[in-house]
Amino acid sequence: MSVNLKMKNFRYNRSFSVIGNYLYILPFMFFFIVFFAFPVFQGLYISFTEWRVAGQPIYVGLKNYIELFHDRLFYTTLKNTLIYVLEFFPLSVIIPLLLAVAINRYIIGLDFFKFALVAPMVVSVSAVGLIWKWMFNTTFGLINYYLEKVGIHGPNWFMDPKFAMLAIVLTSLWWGIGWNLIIFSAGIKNIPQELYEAAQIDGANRWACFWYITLPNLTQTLLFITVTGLIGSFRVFGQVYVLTNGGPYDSTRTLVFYIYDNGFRYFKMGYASSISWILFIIILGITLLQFKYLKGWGEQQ
Amino acid sequence: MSIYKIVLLSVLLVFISRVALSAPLEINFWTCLGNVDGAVMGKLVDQFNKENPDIKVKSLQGYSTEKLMTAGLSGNLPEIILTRTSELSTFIGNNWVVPLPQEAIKVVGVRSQDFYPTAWKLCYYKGKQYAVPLDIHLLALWYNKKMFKEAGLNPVAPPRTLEDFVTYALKMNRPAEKKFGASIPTSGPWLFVWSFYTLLWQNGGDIFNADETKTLVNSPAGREALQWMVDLAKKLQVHQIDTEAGRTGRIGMWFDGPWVLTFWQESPIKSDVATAFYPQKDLKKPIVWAQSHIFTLSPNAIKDQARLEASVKFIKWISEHSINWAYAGQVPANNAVRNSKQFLTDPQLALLRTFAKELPAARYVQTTLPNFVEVQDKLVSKMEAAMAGKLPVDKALEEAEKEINDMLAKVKR
Repeated sequence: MSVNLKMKNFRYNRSFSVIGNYLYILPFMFFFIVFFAFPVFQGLYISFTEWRVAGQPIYVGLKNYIELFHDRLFYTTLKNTLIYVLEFFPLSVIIPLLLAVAINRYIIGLDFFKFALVAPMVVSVSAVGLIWKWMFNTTFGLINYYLEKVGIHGPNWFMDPKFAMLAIVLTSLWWGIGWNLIIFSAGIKNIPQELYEAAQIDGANRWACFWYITLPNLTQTLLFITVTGLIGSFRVFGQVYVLTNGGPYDSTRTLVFYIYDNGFRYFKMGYASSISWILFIIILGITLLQFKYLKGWGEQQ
Repeated sequence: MSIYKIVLLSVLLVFISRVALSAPLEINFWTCLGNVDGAVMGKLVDQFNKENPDIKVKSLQGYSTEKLMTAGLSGNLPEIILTRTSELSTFIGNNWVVPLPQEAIKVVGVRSQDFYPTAWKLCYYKGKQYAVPLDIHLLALWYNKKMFKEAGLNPVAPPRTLEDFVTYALKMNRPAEKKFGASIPTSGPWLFVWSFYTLLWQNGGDIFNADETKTLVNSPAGREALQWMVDLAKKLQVHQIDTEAGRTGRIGMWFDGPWVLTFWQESPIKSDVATAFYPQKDLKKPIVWAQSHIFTLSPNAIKDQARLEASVKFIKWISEHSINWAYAGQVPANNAVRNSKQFLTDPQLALLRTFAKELPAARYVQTTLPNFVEVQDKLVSKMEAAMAGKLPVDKALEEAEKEINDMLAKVKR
């Protein structure tokens, strides 16, 4: 009898706690569904329609997707996005990692550096664009001025399709590494100091400390930064919008920029939605691959 | 019912009706303006509200198309939208604006003879009036008098023909010292493409054929225009010099609109800056790119008569007070304002008066396409390729022509 009662109580508690858990996440779920899940699937529906903003969406089946595969500019924007990701993403991990190690392990107490490196992060993208537009100016810009001082004839940054994307990558790095730097710093702070002391007693040099202690202890942090950073770099938009407007000769027109153009400037909502879904599938695929191959990272140790 | 109750009730009724009657009619007004000119417009709106206590205009300076789109879909468009002539066909295509009800226009007294004719004409779309013009902005030549003097050129006799323009520019050009005779836009939309249109028209060409089914940019006139720009940039060795770079005092001449008036009036070289007519190929047939800010009404403005009349009254008031708007660097479309003593004599508007005198040369981009910007994007991209030397001029315009024509074939009219 008493056992039964206990069981009953247990069941009651458990079911209550299940409901309770749902109650806790209810506010989040509400906003998630209303502002995220619903629009995403609404977007999927719109991608099968022709919708010119005025009037109702007209169902056209796969027309948008078929048109997309014949759209030369779509491939250009896809290529540009990949170039940006391949140039920006590895640097946006490696540079802050090295800086974080340098600041936290070797220049201890110099919060100034940390502040200086993180500060650009809080500047709005339009201000960043205005600053760097002049920094990269071919004739009057600071960058070409200093390049000239060391004997290099600076390129025509925003006029030459070969260099425009590089300028965007460099601007993005200046603007964006602060975030990763904070995360890496937090990760490094969590590594027990004893590990380094033990290694030093064993005669390990700085490089060995970095390679065998810092890096293995940062795998979880690296996983987080790789996943979020890669998604973020696929969505590059603001810098392009302010710095080059997609030019010259479409060399900086990225996927998200093309979505914006189609949706909000050409008012082709259906077409814009189909590009969004292609981008979504690309990002989803890459994220799944990352989880599959990088999951073991944190567990090896 | 006791007498007290009746008295109390009637007092209350009178009070409520007074409040209801005296509450000003609220009108929303969104503009396409930026920080500087938006602030000037904001002040004008405040002044209107002070002088017209029965109407309260709430203004938003600098709408975005995203905002208009969502407002359009949810039926929350502002009653009045200030946009540009080149965007009118897009606004009509999106059902954001309605034809102006002619009775209301008559009742409030907005008359065609009060406005600059070309600007007034551009407010019509397929025979119906959709807008009232506020101003006209067109390109002209801005130049640095000091650099003229240094090169031995007469600072009060700037070049009038394209040929002279090149000669003058080369005389002032010292690329090794980072001094340039002229800056010419080499990328980006706006000034880049507006310069091209100006030259295209001067050469006798046009952007489209009569029914806008084909583009005419790949024509002798178009090729000559783009080649002129490419050659000039090469001759002067100018790369990516924005017109603002003139602030350094190292640029002799550049093309820009009147909207940069305050920018130059506050610049370190303000006493050296002057304006002149845009150089022409044929002085007998001067042509220069122009555009107007226009007031449009959304479907929400015609919901009831009072709202409609208040909206038109506001438009009329701003137009009549557009002398203040002139100080933001815009030529007023209202004839009385443009011919007023203040506009014709105030030294602060001296640079702007060049633009007013240039009005007979004004030519607008006339389009009925709902997605004209898409045409322009394709053109700009190929023009940039030519400027950067990635494509020869004829090949660039050939590609632009093909892409634009493919797009035009798909447009639903």
